[in-house]
Amino acid sequence: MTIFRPFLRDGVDVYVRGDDEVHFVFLATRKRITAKVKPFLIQALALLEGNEHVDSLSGRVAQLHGVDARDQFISFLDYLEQKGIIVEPDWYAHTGFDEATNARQERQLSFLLDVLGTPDKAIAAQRKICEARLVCFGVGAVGSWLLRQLLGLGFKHFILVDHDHIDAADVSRHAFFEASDVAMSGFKATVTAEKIQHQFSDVDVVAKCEPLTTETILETLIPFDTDLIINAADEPYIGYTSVLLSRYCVSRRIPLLVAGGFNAHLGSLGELIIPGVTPCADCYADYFQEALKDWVPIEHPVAERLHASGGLCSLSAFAAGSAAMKVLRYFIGVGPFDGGRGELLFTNYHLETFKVERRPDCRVCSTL
Amino acid sequence: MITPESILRLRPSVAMVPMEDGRWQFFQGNTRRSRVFRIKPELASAVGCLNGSTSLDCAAKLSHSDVMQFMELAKILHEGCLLEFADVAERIAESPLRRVLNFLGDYLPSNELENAFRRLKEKTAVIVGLGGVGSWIATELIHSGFQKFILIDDDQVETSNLNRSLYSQLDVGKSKVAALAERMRSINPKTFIQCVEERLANATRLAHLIAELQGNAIVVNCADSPSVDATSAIVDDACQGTNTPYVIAGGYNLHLSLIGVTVLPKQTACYQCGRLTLEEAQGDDLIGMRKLARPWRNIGNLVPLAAITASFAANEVLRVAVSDHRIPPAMINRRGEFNFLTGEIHFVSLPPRDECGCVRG
Repeated sequence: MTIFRPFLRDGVDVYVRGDDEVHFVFLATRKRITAKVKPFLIQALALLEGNEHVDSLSGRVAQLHGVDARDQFISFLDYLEQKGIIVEPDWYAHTGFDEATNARQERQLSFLLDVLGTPDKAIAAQRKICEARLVCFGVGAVGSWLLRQLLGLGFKHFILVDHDHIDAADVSRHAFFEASDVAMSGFKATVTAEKIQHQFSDVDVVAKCEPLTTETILETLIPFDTDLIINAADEPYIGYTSVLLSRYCVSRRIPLLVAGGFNAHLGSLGELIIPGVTPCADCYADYFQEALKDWVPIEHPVAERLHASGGLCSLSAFAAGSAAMKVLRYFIGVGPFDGGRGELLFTNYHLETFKVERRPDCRVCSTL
Repeated sequence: MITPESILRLRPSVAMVPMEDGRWQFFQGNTRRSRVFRIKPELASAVGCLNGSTSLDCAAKLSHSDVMQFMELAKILHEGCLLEFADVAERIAESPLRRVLNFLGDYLPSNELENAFRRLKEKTAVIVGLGGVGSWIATELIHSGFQKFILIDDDQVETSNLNRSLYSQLDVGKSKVAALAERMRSINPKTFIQCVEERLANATRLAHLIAELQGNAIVVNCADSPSVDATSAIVDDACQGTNTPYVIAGGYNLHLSLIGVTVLPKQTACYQCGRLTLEEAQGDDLIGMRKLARPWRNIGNLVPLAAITASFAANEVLRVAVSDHRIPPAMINRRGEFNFLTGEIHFVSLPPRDECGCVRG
């Protein structure tokens, strides 16, 4: 027992049947624990409000139910602590983070506690997030909404790479741009970095206004201590840029999140590539080449199709949310980390998913 | 409407794929739906000529097709959102909101598209509760072309809100309505926003606000204080009385990973119908158990869940606003649950309930 003021934490619902059966329902995961215990222990649950010291509580129990009851009560508390049902009431104020981070992440720490089970694990997970170094290629419709969510999750170190300038249509789908940014026609990466810095002063963000091509020397854009690379660049073509980045990532064992370009603004869900664990971009490319080999559209009569694709901010936000969840799960170590993609079908909100396996003969990642 | 001189083009987001036996697949890339037609080879090749500068007449001649037959086909393909008028397409390409218009173009033929978008712009989104989900919905709607809003919340922005909402540290201490309105106007200065800095205490107040909009309101409930049940009951009451469509965005049972129901009063199951069904189904094996009362709870939450929940509600508001049977709301008579660990969505049917008495005729 390491808890001084046991607090039946907020993320657990308690149901009681009869006088000796208790069900703990974890709200975040829907996990359920059922226990048969003495009736006085069930009554004692109501005392676990975090405002009374465990000695005083057990004293009260002993007074009411006898000395034996004290030991049973203590071992019940032990059990509840192990199961992550009771915590210190102000555990999230003692995380070692700065005050602003603590205040901002209070609710997320509760969530992490729900998923990971103990305050120590929740704090360690949040620390990993705070310290992670991310490089994001492309800060457009999907990239910007993903960044906005990663900031909310508490990520603090970003390098943004985008060579494009802002135009009027960008404002209507971007997480950071304002109408007044159009006239200046600045670099997307620079303006996004400025906005982030303005809104989140404790975040360190660097803009690099360079294109991503075969000529690009990735070492100059991606520092050696990078923890995650994000590809949300749709130019020249996401399949192409992902293969480029994936090969770099596989050789250096850096995970790559592919989020955008291939219709993420329409609700397509991308993949997290973990070298040696999931398929790499070459595995995906081969998979799709094979899967789509009989699907050959005629050459489209309209040559200029750049401004003709559809997209909804809500679908970008959905794809970004799903991608942000993948990033979070990676950093807190909650799998599974399978290969595959998904598509939200707007007509009925059916989420179509399909698996993609690693290719045993992949020329890039099969030796890992 | 469609004449031999009409200039239509194959929509750039549509892929035309040859199949066996003279059949052709038309794949709508925006919504990933496909339709298959059996078409004579010369008519198919005429469709393949529709590049935005060639008239139907001209395309038919180029491919040695019968003009009348080709016009009939063009009508069907246009009706099916596979072809579009070139002049409409040109105007859309100029619009900053072209992606939204092109997306809706998968559901509405091009000659109706601009009118539908005008209808949408006339609607006022009434957002009750501007926390994590509410701030995301408002922002997603403004990016979808909505220009009129009523924002209702009595809260101020606190640091602990920042992890999941779209406020920033610069907003801490401001009222949520003011902070959000400021952000929305910075995106589109022409946005009309009525800020109502108060807690929605009863249906009469909401009904009064809606009544002034003369049938152009769509209400979204994102308020969870004192409980989603309580705020949804108020919204339901006000909306049933004023015949106003509403979307429940927040969540039941304190979960924020839920996708709420969309209600068209007198036509579809209302929030109370859903509650009846959910109460019956609830917990199956938890039935007959006492629940330990836990006031003032601080439930875990994080930004992707707020954004994902909001994205569905924003989709629904958009669909209601367009008011067209070809793109109806998708959350009628059901609710969904997004599992954040598996990324799966699960739906539960919530049919209209006679004993609720809300659906008539």
